[in-house]
Amino acid sequence: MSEFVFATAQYESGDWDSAPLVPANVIDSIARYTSIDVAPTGAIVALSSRDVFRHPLLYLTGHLPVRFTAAERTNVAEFVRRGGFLFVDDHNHDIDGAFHKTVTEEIARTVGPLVELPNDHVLYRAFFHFADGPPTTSHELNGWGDNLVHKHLHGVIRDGRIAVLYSNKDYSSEWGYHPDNKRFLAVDNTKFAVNVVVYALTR
Amino acid sequence: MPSRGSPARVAIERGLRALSLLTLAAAAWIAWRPPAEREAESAAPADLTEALPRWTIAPPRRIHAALDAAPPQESRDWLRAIRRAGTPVTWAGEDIPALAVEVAPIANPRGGTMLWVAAPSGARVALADALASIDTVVAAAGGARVLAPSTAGAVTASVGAQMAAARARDTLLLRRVLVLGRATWETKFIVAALEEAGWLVDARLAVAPGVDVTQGGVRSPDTARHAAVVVVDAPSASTASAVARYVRSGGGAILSGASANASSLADIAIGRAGARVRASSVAFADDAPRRALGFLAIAPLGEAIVLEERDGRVAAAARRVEIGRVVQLGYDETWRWRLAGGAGAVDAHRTWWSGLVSSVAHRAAVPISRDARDEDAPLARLVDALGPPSPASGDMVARARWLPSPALLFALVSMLVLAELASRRLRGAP
Repeated sequence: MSEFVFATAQYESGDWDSAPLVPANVIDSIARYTSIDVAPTGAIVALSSRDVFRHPLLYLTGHLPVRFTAAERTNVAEFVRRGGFLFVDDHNHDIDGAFHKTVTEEIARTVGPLVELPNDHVLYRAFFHFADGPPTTSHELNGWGDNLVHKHLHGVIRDGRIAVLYSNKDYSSEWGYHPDNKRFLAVDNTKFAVNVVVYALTR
Repeated sequence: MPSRGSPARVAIERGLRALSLLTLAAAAWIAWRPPAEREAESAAPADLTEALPRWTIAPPRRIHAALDAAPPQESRDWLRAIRRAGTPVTWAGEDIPALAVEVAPIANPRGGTMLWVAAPSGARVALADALASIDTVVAAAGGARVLAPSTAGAVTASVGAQMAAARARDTLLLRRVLVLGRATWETKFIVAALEEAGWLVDARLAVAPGVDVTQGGVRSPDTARHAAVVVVDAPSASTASAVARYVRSGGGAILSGASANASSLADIAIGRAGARVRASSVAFADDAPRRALGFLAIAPLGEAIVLEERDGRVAAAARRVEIGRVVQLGYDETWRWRLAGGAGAVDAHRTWWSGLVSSVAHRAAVPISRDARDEDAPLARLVDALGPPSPASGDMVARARWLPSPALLFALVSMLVLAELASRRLRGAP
């Protein structure tokens, strides 16, 4: 039985590798809180390659404009059609930045329109309970970026389940530290990552 | 004063009276002659309808029917009644095809009806229902089967002049499917495939010690709720015991991967899942996609039926466990087929999993009315009614001897008596 591999999507435009510490941190949380068989290291998958279809959950982030190539667009559309789960996080934490504008355009064009997820969505109860919806990040609260707290995540819904989860809360910055440093936190801020993975594996 | 007629006229009148008495005597003889005195008779198919009433009124010593098609139910039952009344009845029909048809609803949420046909190998069988032709198939190894999306009324199967007809004798109550396992891509995509195929799915997927993600809120399989249970990973002892009880009660189970190695499932498992067999191809070919999947080789025990093997190692097998059914799969990563297979992989993966569940599903049948006139196996019913075929014996007459009907004899007697009476009255005799 294959183990869960946290895979980061590599795309040709922009800076796909802007959050290199996130995979290790998410993997640490999966191993720490669940009994899911998780690979100790993540994988990097080129969106234009067939390797996309070996990893049903893909994490995509960056700061810069995203323009999919034709091969990337084809693969993303097919990946979602076959039941894959794409988690996209805006590493800028802004509301009208280059990454946000371009990646949401690409998602809409390739997969379908993004809709606002209600804050009582099952995603927020998939493992840990987040009664108020998506947990806020320190970047939302300390005045960096656009000084806004984004109240909702967005998604593309296919057959009643989230096929593409889009966040502009900048979890890529929030989770971008070495897992050993979790001991300095009063509350582990990567718990929501566990919900994302459990949701992808069970819905 | 009575007149005296000419001697010739009187002689004619006496002749008419004698003829009347002879005719009456003949009618009495025909009516009451003993069967043993009749000759053995044989009838061709075209003459059977005319012969049956005659054989009933005046049974011959023995009856032989030379048939080119199984007679309709009425004729068959009539012949059986004559035989039970004491007249030996034999039949022959070398050209009658052994034809039978069965109509069975499929345990699948998409519905559908399986038409099972028994016919001589090589025979062309035309299938039709009350609305239209369904298909024409050539029987191989004594039979054929056709999947029809739906049927209306009786389904007929015809080979030449012989026709068999049947209609579904019951309908199915399809229940939910329960998927048990850990949170893995395999369980996720099994649930997805079954839901896409129309099954209602309950699931209990373990994500942490004591923490399950559930769907449908049901924790154990139950024949009152579930058509089948899919066990993807080795379950807890209590869950495995519940699955074993469920199967023995008539439920269906699919044991995937290493789940069959759970000690509590040993009684219902087909065999131990052993060493992993590597994929024999890199790419998922459309005609043999599962060759690109590895699997745990199954060592079948007892009366298991091997469903799929590769290089002599069993990848899938099935068996009955009391009144339940079990399919065991060595495959534990079929999700790779769905994700990385060819253009039709999603459909193929879905169809394969749905078919597996259909094959083991607990079938709660609801009987529906059935038309007793349906002849689902004409030749078999003929043999059941009259015994096996046998050649005609030498003393058979090919056609029945002509005998006047009672009505004709009555008319003749009436005319003779009236003629005599008229003659006598006209000459003034009493």
